[in-house]
Amino acid sequence: MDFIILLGFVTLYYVVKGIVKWCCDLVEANSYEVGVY
Amino acid sequence: MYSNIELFTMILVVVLLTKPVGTYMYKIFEYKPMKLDKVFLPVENFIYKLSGINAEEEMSWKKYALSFLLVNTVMMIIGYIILRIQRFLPLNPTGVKNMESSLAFNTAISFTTNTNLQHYAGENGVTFLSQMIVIVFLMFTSAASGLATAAAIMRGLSRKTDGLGNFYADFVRVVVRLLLPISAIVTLILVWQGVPQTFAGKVVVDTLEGGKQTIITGPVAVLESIKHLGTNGGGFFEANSSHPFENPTWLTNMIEMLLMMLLPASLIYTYGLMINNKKHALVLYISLFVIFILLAVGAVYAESHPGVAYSKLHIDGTPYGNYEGKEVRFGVSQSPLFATVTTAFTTGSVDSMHDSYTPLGGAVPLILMMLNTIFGGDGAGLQNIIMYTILTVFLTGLMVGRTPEYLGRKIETKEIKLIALAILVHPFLILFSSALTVMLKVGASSVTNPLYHGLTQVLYEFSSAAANNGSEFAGFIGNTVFMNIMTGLVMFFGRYITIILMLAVAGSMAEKIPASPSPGTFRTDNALFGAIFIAIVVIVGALTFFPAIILGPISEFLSMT
Repeated sequence: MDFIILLGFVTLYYVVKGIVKWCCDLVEANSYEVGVY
Repeated sequence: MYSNIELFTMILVVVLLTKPVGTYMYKIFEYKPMKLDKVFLPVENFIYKLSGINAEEEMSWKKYALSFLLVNTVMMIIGYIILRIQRFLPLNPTGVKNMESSLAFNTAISFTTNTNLQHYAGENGVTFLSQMIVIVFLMFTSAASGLATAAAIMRGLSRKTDGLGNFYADFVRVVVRLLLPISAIVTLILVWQGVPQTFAGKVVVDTLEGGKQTIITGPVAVLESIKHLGTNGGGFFEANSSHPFENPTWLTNMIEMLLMMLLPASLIYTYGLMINNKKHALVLYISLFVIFILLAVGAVYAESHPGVAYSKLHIDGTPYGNYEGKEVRFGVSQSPLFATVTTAFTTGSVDSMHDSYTPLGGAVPLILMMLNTIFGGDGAGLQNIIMYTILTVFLTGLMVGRTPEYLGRKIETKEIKLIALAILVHPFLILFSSALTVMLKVGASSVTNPLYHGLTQVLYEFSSAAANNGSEFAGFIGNTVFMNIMTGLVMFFGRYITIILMLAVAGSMAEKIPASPSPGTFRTDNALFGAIFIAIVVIVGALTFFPAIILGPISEFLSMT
């Protein structure tokens, strides 16, 4: 059980890390707009 | 009348402290020189050297977010391991056993995310060592994490560089310069008022009836100070701040409420200094206090006037209000005030049992956790306020046909996508988890009340978890494998998704070149903006949660009248 839960913590970390990457892609996808204003 | 005097006295003290504390935090976040640098700098440099931190390194929002996530996950795992092996470790005079695995999972997430939802009994569930190196340690670090990320977001909206600062340096500075000094002072005051601070495990005393009673003590005062200053809320004892060792007097009750409010309220002043727009911060500050005061007065009124059904019970003292689940030393004035403060400022400590409140009195803390914006916890609250502020600017921009801009930076599709997601995460976590719990037998078995009140119990549990509040609707059975895992996941995603999305917004805004305000710019420093901001918070909250509130506390209230 402990091993599964420790694996769960690592999985949760990577899920949120994936969200960071998604946000990064979203922010950079529109980077052409930088400086327009 | 008495309760109103207490409420306004408390608010007055917070208002008076807002400027000095807010300025102090501004100096911490902006690395301004301080008189106490001679004391703090060597400590910080020692920590940097010991952990190999380059405090000078400027981080992009992505690196900042990953550093925050990594540090938190590592602390979570270490906390879990300690709780699982605590009976083999020292400082266990009361013979506490190892924590069950799903409960340890829940507890580790709970304290790392600044929630402090406790599915264990404080005095019986953890050893003194665990209290200190898991519970108290995480109370400092979770508050520091929230404040550090808030600092990064403020920098993103105010600076003309892409970097948001250095997470490790912010984290260390907040602990060393802010949390530790204030906690130390408050700990001494609490000890003076009778809160124990000892490693003696238990005291056996002779009772008046001639029997023996075992009274558990421990290092309570140190936990109690950071518990409120860090908007944590986890108690040393199961009864939390209603226990006389955690909150023995009227004065400690007032101090605890003030501590909960101190940093989140002052942080708005810090925000005004960082964005160089104190008038905008003042508008936000007043708007939030308007909502807070209305709800606090409502809660006190509901508990003071429990209604027809209550008066039919013919309980002595009924004319004085609903005393069910309340400590006599706090009564029907301080108890609902404390409940309002602890949920508005997302702390989660309780000095009365919210499950015993009248339907409308209990609805107030529930609504505050659902809104999750009325000041909120250390750092995380300000992030939600900024989130709603940008949404307000965007919606007003749409209404009047102007390109929305905030602090001179245009708000574009990508920021609104991130903000929309951040706003939706909170209700999704609460409503989906609540629905799943009442649908499944394994979840519904935790509900101890029938009908409307039962649904309110479930909504309260998940609102508390998602808002990283941690207070309990006392009758709910939280310590089951299903609830430990479910609330653990809700706390985790409720904390990290919102902060990550807001860091991304700050990173995106930081890249833009700010323009000077033009005659077409929608002003954010006047009463009109404040009124619209309040309306947006209430409308978004109402649209998402109103059906659930109707099915829970409102229906219960109507059924009793």
